[in-house]
Amino acid sequence: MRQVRLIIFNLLLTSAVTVSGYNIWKMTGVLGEKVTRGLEENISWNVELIRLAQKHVCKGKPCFVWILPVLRKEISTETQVFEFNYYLYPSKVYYMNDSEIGLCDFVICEQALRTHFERTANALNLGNKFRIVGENDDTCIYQRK
Amino acid sequence: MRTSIQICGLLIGFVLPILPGMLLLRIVLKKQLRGILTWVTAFILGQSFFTLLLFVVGIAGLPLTFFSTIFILLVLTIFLWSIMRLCQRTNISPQQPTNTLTQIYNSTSCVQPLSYSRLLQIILILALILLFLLIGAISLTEAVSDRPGQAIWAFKAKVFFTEQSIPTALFKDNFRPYSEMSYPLDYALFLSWLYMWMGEINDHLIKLVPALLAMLVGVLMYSICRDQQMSMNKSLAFTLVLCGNTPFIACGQQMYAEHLLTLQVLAGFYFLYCFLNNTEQKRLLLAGFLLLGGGAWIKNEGLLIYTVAFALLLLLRGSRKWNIRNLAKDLPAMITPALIFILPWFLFRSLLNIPTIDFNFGKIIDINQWFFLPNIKEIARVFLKKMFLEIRYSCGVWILLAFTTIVHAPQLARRRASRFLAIAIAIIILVYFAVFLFSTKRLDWHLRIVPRILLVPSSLALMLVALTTRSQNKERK
Repeated sequence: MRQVRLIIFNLLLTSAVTVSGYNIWKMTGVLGEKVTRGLEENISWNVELIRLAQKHVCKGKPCFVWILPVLRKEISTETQVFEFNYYLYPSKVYYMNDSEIGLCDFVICEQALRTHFERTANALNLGNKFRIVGENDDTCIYQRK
Repeated sequence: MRTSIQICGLLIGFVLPILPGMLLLRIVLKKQLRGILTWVTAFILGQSFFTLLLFVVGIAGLPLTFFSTIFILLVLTIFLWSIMRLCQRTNISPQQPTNTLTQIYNSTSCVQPLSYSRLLQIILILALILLFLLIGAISLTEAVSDRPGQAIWAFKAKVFFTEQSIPTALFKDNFRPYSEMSYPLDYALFLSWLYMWMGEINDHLIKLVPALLAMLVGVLMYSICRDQQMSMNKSLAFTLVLCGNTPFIACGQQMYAEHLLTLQVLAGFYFLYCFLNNTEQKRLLLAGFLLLGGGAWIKNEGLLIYTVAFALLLLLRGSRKWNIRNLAKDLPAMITPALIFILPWFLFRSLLNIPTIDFNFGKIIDINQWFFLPNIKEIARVFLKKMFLEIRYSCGVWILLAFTTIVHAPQLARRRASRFLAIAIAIIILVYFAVFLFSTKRLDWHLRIVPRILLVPSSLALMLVALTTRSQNKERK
């Protein structure tokens, strides 16, 4: 009976080790994929936008982020805000309430939301207080005049 | 060239806390240990104490620069060295240097089991080396790009490094609810110490830290198995099973603090296990709780584990020889670490009135409404699925534990140390279950982290399997 137990235990342990081996095998694939795609792309979900923001947002100035989730890559707005918050430090990043636009010197806005932003800014009596200082195909950056 | 210097700086900064840790271990155990277990334990203890000291210095308003932190480390090391010398002088019969905890504290002789084959050994070693190299390489392909890094640990480290202090304004900032200000600062301070050694913030290289910590968890598991005189093949197999599961690998590639917590908890419980095998050795009890206290200084989850170990040990110590004198002897060793590690942070938190975002007892749902009952089924389903069905997530650790528990049930019930470990694992999982059940947060928000939070209990489960099967073999021989 003891021998049977020992054999079953060893079989289970061997299976567990095999699963670990399989996971290691899968990891080699992951590494290969990352290297093939290039390291640059993996720096952030949108390295161009981060660089654009770092270029235009003055150090330490508060900033409002108004962007859509990247559904294709399953990246939420919140995740993008964490990234802006991290890479633009010591600037404070706001994103939750529209009323916080008034507290900010910069607004990072999705091109698709531009009209929406300008309408909201007008409603907050901030319509003529922002001007565009930088943009690319997807996003534009406003600065308080 | 610059990157090479930064890597060297990172590695030097990473290993330096071993110095005070080694001295502290010698003071606590009053014996000189050898072997890998000692080095890993010294690292764990050293980094906990060092970051705690950085925290105290930081909130006292002193600057946290490269030179000031080195000065702090130097003072700590000299202080501990002086205490060690003092202890050695007062020690009437100096102990001979010994090899392992088992050799010191177990009176029974241990039999070295036969190894299966050299080839298997080489394959397992190569697999482990490949695993850690892959974890490190994949970590380096990305900069800090995950929530725990960007929002919590690396972010706070960046703030401490940039400001050269611990700015209290950061903790009062209502605009940073996602930065989890209620989390203790051990990991963030350790990362900022490494930034100091690198000379600047390097968002790529800092990703090596979780990979190094993952490797240390593997080394710790291996050294625990070897400390118990287990064969090299089995030790390597257990290490591979622990380190080869998907959440473990994922945590090694991202800035999670799980591996640091696993290190503290695994080492802490192992010392307590040794203590319960020989309750005369109170120093093991102190060392165990110091390590668990360090866990509470890493994450709030560590406090839960500390409390479970504390309560369970009180019960188990009391169950056989209930003796107030015994209890009075044990209590200081169990409470002191809590005072050292937990009190300063909680005082700081309560002074600044930092709320807990994830879960606190003020956020428990109204139990009288009974609408939480359907959640029981869902939570149980996810837990069981992740533990037993999705083998890639658990590598069969829980199946191994279930088998061992069934087969070795009498032995588990008879041996106090094994019983302690088994009950502790069960309680920790039940507490997670209860937190998910009564939390007001969305259930799916909690359930998505199940594989990750099971990392600590699964490391304990694997240790229990290893220790039980090993002692069974020994008893048979």
